[in-house]
Amino acid sequence: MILTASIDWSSLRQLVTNQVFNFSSKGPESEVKRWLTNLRVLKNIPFQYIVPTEHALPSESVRFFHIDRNWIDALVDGALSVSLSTTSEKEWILEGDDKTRYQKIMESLNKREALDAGKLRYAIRNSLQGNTNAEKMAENTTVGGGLTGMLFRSKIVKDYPGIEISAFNHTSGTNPWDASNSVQVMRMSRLSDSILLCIFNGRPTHLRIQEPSEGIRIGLDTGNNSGEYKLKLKELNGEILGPEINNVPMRNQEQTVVRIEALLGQIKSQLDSQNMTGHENMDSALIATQMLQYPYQQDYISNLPSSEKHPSVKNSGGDS
Amino acid sequence: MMVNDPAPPPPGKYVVYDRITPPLKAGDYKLVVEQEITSSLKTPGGGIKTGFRVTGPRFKLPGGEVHMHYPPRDLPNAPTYSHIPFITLQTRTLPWTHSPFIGNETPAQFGANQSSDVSDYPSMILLVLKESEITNSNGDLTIYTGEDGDTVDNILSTAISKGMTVEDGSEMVDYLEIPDQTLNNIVPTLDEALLLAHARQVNPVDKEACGTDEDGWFSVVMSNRVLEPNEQYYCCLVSIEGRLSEGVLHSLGTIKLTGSIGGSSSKTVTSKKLVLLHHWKFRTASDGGDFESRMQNLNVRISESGSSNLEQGSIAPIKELVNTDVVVEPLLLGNDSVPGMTDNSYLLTQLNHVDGIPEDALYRGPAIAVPEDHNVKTKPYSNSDEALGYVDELGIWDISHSAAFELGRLIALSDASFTKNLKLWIAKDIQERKLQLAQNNLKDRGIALELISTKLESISANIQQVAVKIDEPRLINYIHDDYDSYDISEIRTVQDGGIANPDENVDLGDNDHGDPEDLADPGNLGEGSDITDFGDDLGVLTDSDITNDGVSKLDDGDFSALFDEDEFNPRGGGPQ
Repeated sequence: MILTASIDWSSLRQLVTNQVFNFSSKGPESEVKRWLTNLRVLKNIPFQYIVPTEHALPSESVRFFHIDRNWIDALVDGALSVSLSTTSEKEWILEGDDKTRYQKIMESLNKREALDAGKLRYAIRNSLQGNTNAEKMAENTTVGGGLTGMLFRSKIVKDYPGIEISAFNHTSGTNPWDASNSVQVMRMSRLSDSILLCIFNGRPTHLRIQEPSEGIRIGLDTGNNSGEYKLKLKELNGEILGPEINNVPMRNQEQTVVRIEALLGQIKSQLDSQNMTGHENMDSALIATQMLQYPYQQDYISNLPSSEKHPSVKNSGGDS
Repeated sequence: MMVNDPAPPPPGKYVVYDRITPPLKAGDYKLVVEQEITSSLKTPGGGIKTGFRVTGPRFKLPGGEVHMHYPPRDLPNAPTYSHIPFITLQTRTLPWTHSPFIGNETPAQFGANQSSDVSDYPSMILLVLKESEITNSNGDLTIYTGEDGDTVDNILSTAISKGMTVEDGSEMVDYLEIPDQTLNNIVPTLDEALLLAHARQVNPVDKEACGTDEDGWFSVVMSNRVLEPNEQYYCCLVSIEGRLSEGVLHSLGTIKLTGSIGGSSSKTVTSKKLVLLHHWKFRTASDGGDFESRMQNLNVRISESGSSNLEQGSIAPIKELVNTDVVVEPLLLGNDSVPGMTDNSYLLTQLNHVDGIPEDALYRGPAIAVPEDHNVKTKPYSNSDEALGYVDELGIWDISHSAAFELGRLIALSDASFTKNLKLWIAKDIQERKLQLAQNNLKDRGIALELISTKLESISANIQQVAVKIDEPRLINYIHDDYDSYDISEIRTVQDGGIANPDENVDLGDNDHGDPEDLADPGNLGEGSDITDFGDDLGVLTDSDITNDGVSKLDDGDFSALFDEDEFNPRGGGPQ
């Protein structure tokens, strides 16, 4: 199933930002807060400040982290300091009765980072689906809590634009992957061709990295050895059956050409051995069904409660 | 939709069919209707004989026939190995509208093992070709389209000679020229061609899948070739109608040679020209492997071996851990598995003092391996020294927040727009606060703000009166930023006790331009409006012209009494 619509995301984003969150004000205060909000989700921060040594993020790796809000506060302090030089300016930042202006600014930034940077993603999706509850969703967003994140360094990032990452905090219910457990993605962007940064508003227990789901495709699975291919057998309704054809027959003259007729023979033989019926008189439809490729999901699951200070991560993988 | 179509599947699902063959293949048909009447009456039986033609796209696909390609056209990094290109067509019967056979040809004649009907075989196949495979010795691509194409007669000469009928042999069509050996290596056999085309039915409500198609039926032609990394590929949907006897499909036997390719005569390569129905290109990603295999090749460190043979502490790709009880080390950014780093993400580095002497220091960034409590401050750090930390137990500086402060400052300073907005915001706030304080102060002294406001308005009116007397647009422009939209007559009418009636103008002396009608005829210009009065340069006012009227009554002292020059024009520069 292929998405054929062409969407101008930039104009849509602007539209949703203005309409849903009423952030269209262009006054200096609004502009300053918008800029600082971006800074707080690590936009424009040189990479070596985030990862001070390459050993911490080797190539082809995934790393999770907590965000030190104290570091972020110091960063914002530095930015504000460029205009806090005179006595009246220094007095200005400390004005206030129960809370100083500085505290109020920081609280305001907490709200903005959750709404402006994060909820937008959901708002756009909901707006496309005609869901008018985006504002309500924004109200329910956690503000100013602990932030976590993920860095993914791999050529996969370059080769699979549109990679989907979703995070969940399994606190209730039997299905940890239920949308009600979803943790807000505050930022997801490529820092370079091969490095993807995600920032989550909270601490996920379950994380899923999924192949871009632009559509169901036709193909094979890479085999255990170079140049070998395998095929996961499917039921006639397309669901994965379990057994695999481990060595898909390829042509001798050209190793990239599949011997389709021989493959059909192997598929029928394997289905017979699984006592499957209904495929006997099928030919091209059976090939098309068996060669369906679904978006792959790689799951990361913490094996410790989220309250623990050092959550380990356990891997599990497999098709949906 | 045909009357006997099956009901569409639920949205989000689709049904795959081996094929949907048209009731009649494309071609010329004769319709014969005979009537036989069995009656004792010797009435002759009636009958009709007529001809008709069934047509379908044959040498070109009509616009809009291609529903989608996979991989998408011009994709720069298509996934490799596991994904097989295919094309989806709007017409469900298109691959089977024409027959690959001509005359009395049979599938068995071309090595087919299937017991399929002749009408089951498609007349088109999808070839997936590397750029190098269809580039001739001159470096040119051997895909010829538009004016570079060739006539049907030329491309299908052999087929036509064997009985294939074409409507217009002079029709120009696109074609692909491909070396015989390359073609034979990748082209499917006849039986495989049959397996590579199928039909699909989706729910028309499923707009995402259905696109602009109204009935939800499609045909699909797959290729038989997996993709290698870092290659430029061309996908070519070609017609094989009438070409089987020329060996256009895979055969282990001898290949019939029909021509040559390339501009160099040093090496002649035999080739074939195939009618090109459609083509698109894309490039594959630099790394091989599908998403699944590449994700599972990511490395992790083993924390608990479980029942596996993996050693604790060793590195292993994820694929070796799937469906096992192995536990991997926390995949945390910056813990003590990184050389020189503590388990709470501090890295030993050096701090250079002003005197150039280095000193050991600890740094960690905003992304750390352990959660850290947020100490909400009531005021910001004033400078980076204030943000310096000191680790007593180690006797070492922690420069983390100090570095963050300096970084924030540097980024802010490099953005003129941000610093300007920040200054504007603070200045505006401070100004408002001062105004409020002043108002409160005046109130405390018992001075009514309304009275001050009235006085200020009176002063403003006097200033405007002076400006009107001068009637010099340039000067009014200084008073009112938006001169163009300002109506002078309104100025005059608002003056308190001044010019209540715009017709009773202040005497403007020599610069009175008179009634607008006068302007149409220079001869009717008002008194003192003789053009020759304006100095040597025609139409240009001189200083003397201006000082001849009421303005001369004002001296610099009057201006300075009225205006603070700096406030007069906030953009800089007052009246000259």
